[in-house]
Amino acid sequence: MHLPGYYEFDCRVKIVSGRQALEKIPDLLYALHAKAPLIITDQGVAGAGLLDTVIEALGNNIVTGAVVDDIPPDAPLPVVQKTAGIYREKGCDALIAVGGGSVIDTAKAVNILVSEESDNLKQFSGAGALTSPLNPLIAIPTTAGTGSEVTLVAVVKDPENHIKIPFVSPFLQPDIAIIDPRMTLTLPAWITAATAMDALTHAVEAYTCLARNPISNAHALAAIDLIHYHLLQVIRHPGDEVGRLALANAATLAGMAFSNAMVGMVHSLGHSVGGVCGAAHGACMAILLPYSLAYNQHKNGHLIAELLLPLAGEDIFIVTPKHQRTQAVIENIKILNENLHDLTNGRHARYLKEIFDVDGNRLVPKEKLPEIAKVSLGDASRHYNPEEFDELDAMRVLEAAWEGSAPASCSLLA
Amino acid sequence: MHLLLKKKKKPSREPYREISSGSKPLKRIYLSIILWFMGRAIQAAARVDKTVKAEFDALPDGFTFSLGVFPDGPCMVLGKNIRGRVKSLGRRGLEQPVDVRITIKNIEAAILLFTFQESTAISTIRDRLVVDGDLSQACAVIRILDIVEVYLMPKIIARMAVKRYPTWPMTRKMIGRIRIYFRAVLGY
Amino acid sequence: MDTKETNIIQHRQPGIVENLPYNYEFHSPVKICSGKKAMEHIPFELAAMNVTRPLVLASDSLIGRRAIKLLTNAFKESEMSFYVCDDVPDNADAETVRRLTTLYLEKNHDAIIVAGDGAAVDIAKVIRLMVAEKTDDPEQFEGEIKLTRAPAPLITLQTFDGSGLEASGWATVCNQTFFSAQLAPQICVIDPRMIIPMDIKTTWARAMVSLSQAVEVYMAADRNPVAINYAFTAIQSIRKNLAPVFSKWVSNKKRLALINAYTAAACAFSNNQPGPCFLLGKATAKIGHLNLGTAMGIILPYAMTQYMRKTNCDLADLLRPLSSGDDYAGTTSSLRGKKAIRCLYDLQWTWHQASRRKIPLTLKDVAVGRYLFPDIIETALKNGLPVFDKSDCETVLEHAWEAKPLNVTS
Repeated sequence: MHLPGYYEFDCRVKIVSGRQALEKIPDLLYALHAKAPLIITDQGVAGAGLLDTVIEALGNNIVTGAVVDDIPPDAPLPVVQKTAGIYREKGCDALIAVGGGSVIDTAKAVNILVSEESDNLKQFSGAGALTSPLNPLIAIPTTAGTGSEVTLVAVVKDPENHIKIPFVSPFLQPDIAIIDPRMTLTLPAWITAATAMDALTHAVEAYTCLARNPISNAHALAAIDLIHYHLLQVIRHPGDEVGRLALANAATLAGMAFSNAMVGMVHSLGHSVGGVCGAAHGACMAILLPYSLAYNQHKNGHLIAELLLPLAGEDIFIVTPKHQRTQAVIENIKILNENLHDLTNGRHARYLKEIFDVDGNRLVPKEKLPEIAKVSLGDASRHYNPEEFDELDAMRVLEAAWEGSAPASCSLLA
Repeated sequence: MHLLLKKKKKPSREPYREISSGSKPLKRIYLSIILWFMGRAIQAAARVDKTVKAEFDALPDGFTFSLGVFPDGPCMVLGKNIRGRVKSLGRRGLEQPVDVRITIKNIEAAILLFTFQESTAISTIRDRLVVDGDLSQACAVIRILDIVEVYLMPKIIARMAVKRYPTWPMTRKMIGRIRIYFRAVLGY
Repeated sequence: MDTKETNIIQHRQPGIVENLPYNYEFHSPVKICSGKKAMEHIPFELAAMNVTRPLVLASDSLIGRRAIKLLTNAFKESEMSFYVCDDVPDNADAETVRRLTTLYLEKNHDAIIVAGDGAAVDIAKVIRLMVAEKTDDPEQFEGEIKLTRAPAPLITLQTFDGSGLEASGWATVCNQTFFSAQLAPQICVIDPRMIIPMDIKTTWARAMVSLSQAVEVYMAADRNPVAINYAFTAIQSIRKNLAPVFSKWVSNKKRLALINAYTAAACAFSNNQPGPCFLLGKATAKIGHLNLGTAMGIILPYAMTQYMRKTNCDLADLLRPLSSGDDYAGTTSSLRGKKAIRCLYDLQWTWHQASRRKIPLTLKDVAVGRYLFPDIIETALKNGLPVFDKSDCETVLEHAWEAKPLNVTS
């Protein structure tokens, strides 16, 4: 067990997992002394019938305070304020968030306003502004996933000033995270692939970056193992409930890992690609992961090598000599991307140049790479990356990831 | 003889008692001096070093940031006025809200940081700091701090303080170091 | 604790979480702060929870006095005072609990800090329970307690000694056991300055408590991947660090790693009901007048083997923390469980040798005679021993009495 000089691990969320996990919500709300929850979700989730599944599971034991089913992406500030208003108006005493990262972030932000009895969300931004527990919040993720159900961060978009406002506090963590396979059973193959690769990236970066600690390491390895064994199976057989539950668990474990051990270069570059070009987060993570690992390998190659067993399985691990395991991990991730590309009929991008919008336009033109490289320097996750990178280094990694050329170590890029 | 060997009787203590928060005057003084000098060094570096100047140019006019010890320990506050000049504001800079606030959680963490037992990166990773404000601006502040540390300290120490020691030509480092020290001492 | 279904589904391929159970609940709301100058973070953490009048509970012992001294230093420059009550006895009684609860309320305290040694932690948990529920009668509580209000924050300073349940929601005061996930401490602080090295036997016994907790978490019928991660972290750390700390000259880094392991094991165990190994070990300790860890350390491999024989449960994944990745991958999956148990026997022997044979290997070594076996078995069965029946207990105890090898296949 590598013990860092100092570390903190904090995950206060109660995890409730299983086939009938949703049906436990009434008892869980009762234990939290709540009886009139506000349910919030987005149109996609409502349209897929998942909201109905949740409401049906609540049964007659809970009288829903209200339902808001049109939460847009990126948790815009006006929507947060409006939803908080509905919460107060309907006399709600708890929140149930059914959806992905944006919905859960919106719920966390709404919870701040209604618990602190304020209309000014910005006064609680940053770290340390909240000093007491908030109202009950239950998170039901519908992707596997961002891990937002276990993180202590929420990011709200201020469309008027074109900025994103972060909120960091252990009190932001939901009280309960419900992992029910029904929530991801109908997820299309390409979204399953993208979100699982997002979870894989969380786990890999949590294990290999500087803020790693023993408990986050254990969660990260378990997450990688679950994704390795179940992802391709689930893509081939979307109705595999066991596989869906496993992937959802993997996403939560990866969330617990990265929430405490942070992430690195993949997220710095990936956030910037998403911010500049609007590319989907999961797709960026999947593409950039092997290239960032290659860049960092001269610093943390020995850690990357330890991922080979959960990532590729015993058969590959045992025949790979120790000095080749780092490279084998990078190659296996690339192979995984290739397999996902094939299984999703090309919708899962292997390289940045393969990311297209719904109209078939390339989302990440090569000309935008310098801007992306510059923006990536302002991402906080840069501090946790084992190797420093400047604009030039970022540019080289992005070019390799755009083209799909062989990933190279930082020491070789100079 | 037995009087000399007789043990001193410890004064009896109440089992329930208050222990007031004391102080660590020497450490406080050391940090005050370091932060005061660092503030001036950053102010000087903004005029001497083109990278630091470029970082500040990218920040908006009126931008302020602080680096201090929780709850009310030594701190430095720097601001960029509307004419684009970077100035060390001292504690009076805290009278207005700052854009980026870096808080070191306790005085011992600050000592670890400013005796270079832990670099800025290690302190961040070890949750010894809390950063409030726009994160991209905070990243710029930390890049500025890293550059100034390279100027202020010999390589053997600066290498521990930053993640990647820059490969500058000797002239840039030595001339820059002399100019920054000179300006920092004189305060302009 | 809620009853959990034990509907275990076999997957198509083995993995680190081979039989992912369908239904589980896991809750460990403990924040772990571990490492250099960890105690200096306490004022910041208290301020973040809006605490202004923390009460420090400590016993008048070496660890208690050290805790107060370190806290006094840690709180300097924090502009926060704290209050000390250092006459907490080692064996708590109801009167002490009431007295301290009254003190807490009268002086308007809003958090408790306790050095994780002896009864102080358990008393602190019960005080919080009584304050939250506004009662002065602890005996009214039974089973899993659901508090109507959030209890006051509790910070424990982990030590190298302790009961093994400091980081959990369990507390035992005056032979009454309390359990609630809400009673677990908010923060467990692991600071190397709180480490006081102990003699070899005590060190080993303490580690065995946590090892058996971690193994039980894995073996539980309703095991879940989150608890298993905590448990494996603990097992791996104990495997790597226990033997070296038998030497006086080893640095505190390894002891710190062990305390981290104990805390992780407690966090995982907090979500479990004790299983047959733990309960049988507890009965052995009680009747044989042994330290709990000593009893657990002796019988654990035999109890695990008997468990495998009885339930056909495959302990394959247990090989991962008990051995290296190469060894795990190079062992056929059907043999991994047996190899895991073999590793445990080997570790017992390693510790025995490393301690210059001070650590006992058998019940005979600790003068627990065969004539005590019926009482041990009766006590264990009376306390609701799951899975094992009388003959299972006899098998385990007989083999543990003189280290007779017990094979998985009879």
